[in-house]
Amino acid sequence: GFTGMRWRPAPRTRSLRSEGGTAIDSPPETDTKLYDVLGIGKEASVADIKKAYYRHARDCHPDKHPGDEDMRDRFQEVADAYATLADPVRRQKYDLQGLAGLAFFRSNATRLFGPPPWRVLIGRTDHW
Amino acid sequence: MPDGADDGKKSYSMGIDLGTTYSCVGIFKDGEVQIIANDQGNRTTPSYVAWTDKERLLGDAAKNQVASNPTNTVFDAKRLIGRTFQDPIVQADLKLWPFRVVSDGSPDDKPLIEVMYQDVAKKFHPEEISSMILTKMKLTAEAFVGQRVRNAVITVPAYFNDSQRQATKDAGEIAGLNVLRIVNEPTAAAIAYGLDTKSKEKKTKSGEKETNILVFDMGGGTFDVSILTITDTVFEVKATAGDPHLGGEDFDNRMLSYCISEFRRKHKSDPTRNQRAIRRLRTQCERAKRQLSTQTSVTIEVDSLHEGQDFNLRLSRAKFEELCMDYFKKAMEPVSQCLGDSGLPKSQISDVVLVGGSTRIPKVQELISSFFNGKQLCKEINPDEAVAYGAAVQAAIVSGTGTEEVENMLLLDVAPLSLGIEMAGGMMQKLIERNSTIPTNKSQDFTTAEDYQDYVEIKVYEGERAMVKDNNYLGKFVLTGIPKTLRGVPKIKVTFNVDSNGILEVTAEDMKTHRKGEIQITNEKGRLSQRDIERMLQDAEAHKEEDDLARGEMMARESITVYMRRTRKALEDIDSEKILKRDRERLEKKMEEVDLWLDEHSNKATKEEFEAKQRELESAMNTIMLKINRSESDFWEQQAILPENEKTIEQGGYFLDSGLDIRDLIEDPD
Repeated sequence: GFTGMRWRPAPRTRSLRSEGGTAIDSPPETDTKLYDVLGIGKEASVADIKKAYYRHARDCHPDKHPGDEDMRDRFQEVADAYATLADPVRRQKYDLQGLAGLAFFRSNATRLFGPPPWRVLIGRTDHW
Repeated sequence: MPDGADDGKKSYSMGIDLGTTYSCVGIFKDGEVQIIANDQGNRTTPSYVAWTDKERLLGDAAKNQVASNPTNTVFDAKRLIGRTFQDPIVQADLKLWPFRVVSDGSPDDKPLIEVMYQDVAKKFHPEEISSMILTKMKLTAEAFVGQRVRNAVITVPAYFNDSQRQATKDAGEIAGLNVLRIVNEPTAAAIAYGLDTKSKEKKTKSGEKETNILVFDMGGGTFDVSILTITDTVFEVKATAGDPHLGGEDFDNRMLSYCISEFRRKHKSDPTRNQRAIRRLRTQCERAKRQLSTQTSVTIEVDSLHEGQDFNLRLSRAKFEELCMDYFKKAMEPVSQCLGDSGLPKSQISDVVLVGGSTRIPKVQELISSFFNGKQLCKEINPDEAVAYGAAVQAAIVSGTGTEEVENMLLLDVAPLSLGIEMAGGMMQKLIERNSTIPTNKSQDFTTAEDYQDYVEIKVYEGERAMVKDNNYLGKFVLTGIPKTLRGVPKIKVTFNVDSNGILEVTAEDMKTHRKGEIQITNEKGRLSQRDIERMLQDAEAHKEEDDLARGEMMARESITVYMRRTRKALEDIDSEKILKRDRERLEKKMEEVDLWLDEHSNKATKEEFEAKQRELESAMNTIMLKINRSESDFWEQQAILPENEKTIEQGGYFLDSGLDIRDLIEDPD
């Protein structure tokens, strides 16, 4: 049945750092990419998500297509979509804020390699 | 779909459980998995390699002579593989091993095992030792199917890190195997469990359902916990945790220390430096430990252990448990961690599957059961063979040699450790999180921080701790040849790719010039270079010739001993009236002579010398046979029906490598 993951206006979560750029303010209701990858709707239940994941994973698993890079990328997409949608906390963030909402869970790599001097961050090797 | 077995020879792929103390091999044949017994008739083979003055011994033969040749008998290669010499775990183990381990002296600090072979000190990488055990398993499989087998799936503990996985794969290559896949041991065991329950459920007609299981895999040297969701054909690993250095051997060591202290207390002398005494005592401790799984007390006895003193100790199960309790308790930590990572409550785990010899210990079972609030544990799959069983299934899936049912299966495994790089202040920045489904790849764009900077250096780590110094350093990689320009302009895409074996590959590309060649990955710590592997492969080939030679000798020796036994029996059986006294005496004299010769030369003689002696015997025997004449053919027919224990020579698989079929020797004396 319908599990109630309905879109609600995003609360202004000031604690969420917006390293991901401006995408945080884009209209979230249009972002269904992860659901599209698995071929399911936003209202899908946990069991539906898993079933869809298994179905797609079987189709594109690299074991079944050795050496096929397109299939490898496709499997990556499917696995990533499942990893987000199968986790209730991540799924809710995604439903509310789209992909940008997930930046919070990702490595904040922009900060890592961006303007604060690179050498200070990576080049220092023997500091202990 | 028709079975493609008829068009030409079917090639087989095997599954090898390469254990710390024992290994096991299985093969998918005729629609089912066969676990294969070795030439001694054992379904598991000790992971032992030994060098005597004459030959290299593998498996049972090596383990059986350990007490008389402790410094040249090597085991525990799995506890060394993929580690550095200075690794605290290696340093601690060193004190317990009777064989010598040294550093290779290079900046990589690889450990080398040193043995004496024909008065020359030889040094081996742990990968080479493992490759020898893999070769033994390969021979076992080949003897079973009667043809060469090159394709193999090799299992590793789920919690093995990147270096250990890579090193295990290298060992397979040195053994001349085509390593199809490195598979996690608990995952392989889960396949065995899944197929087992599925075949049972068919009878009860239960439909497609989803079950969560926890695999508790504690073997001789390593310990894993994995949680999987199993549906009809999909095996999805949810989380994995463990300790790559915890198992039965640690319990043996505890018992050993206790026995030594008891001996010291009673006899006021210290056997610690007496390698032979320690080895004998350790063997008895291991035996006692096994017995304590079924009985509540045992006596450990070793005659004349040290300085003429006997050792005698009554040990209760309670005392054994007390000695090892901290280990047992330590094993429960990964269980709760794994549960936490999987996001499943205890109540959702419908079965706890026990794998590995150490799960026979009642206290271990009791602790797991009480952790799951008194749950009944699943002991239905064979704890020693389940991993090889699953590996054989996986080998069939990957190589496409299984049945349709098997090839329909889908395995979704995970990376056991997070992977990342060092960032400001020595912090660990993860790029791939632990328990991510593999294969997986994550890319990240890099840029420079200073104007005109043309190279950067990145250090790669694996582990969960916040600071990189607490995690395992995998290597650094240097990107060079970046076009000199203002800072922040270059764009370098770095990709972390974890393949289906759980092995990390790092690639990098300058997005502006699309040059990959300028980017080098250097100093991959502890890993053998391709050149090293090729050299070892050649060494192994050379060794194989030596082995073939030694095996040829062994066969000739075996052949003459068997011939002697049979002749003796024949002499008893043949009606004495049919033999001339003179002939009989001549044969008996000859046999006595050969007996003496064997006593003196059996360790030094060459294959040709053995064969010459056998021919002498045969000619004496043939004289008699010719005279008995008419019943001659009957006689040899009778002899062709060999007693069971002599048939092992026939099935030993020697003929595959030497090109000689021992059956020729047995069935037809001419």
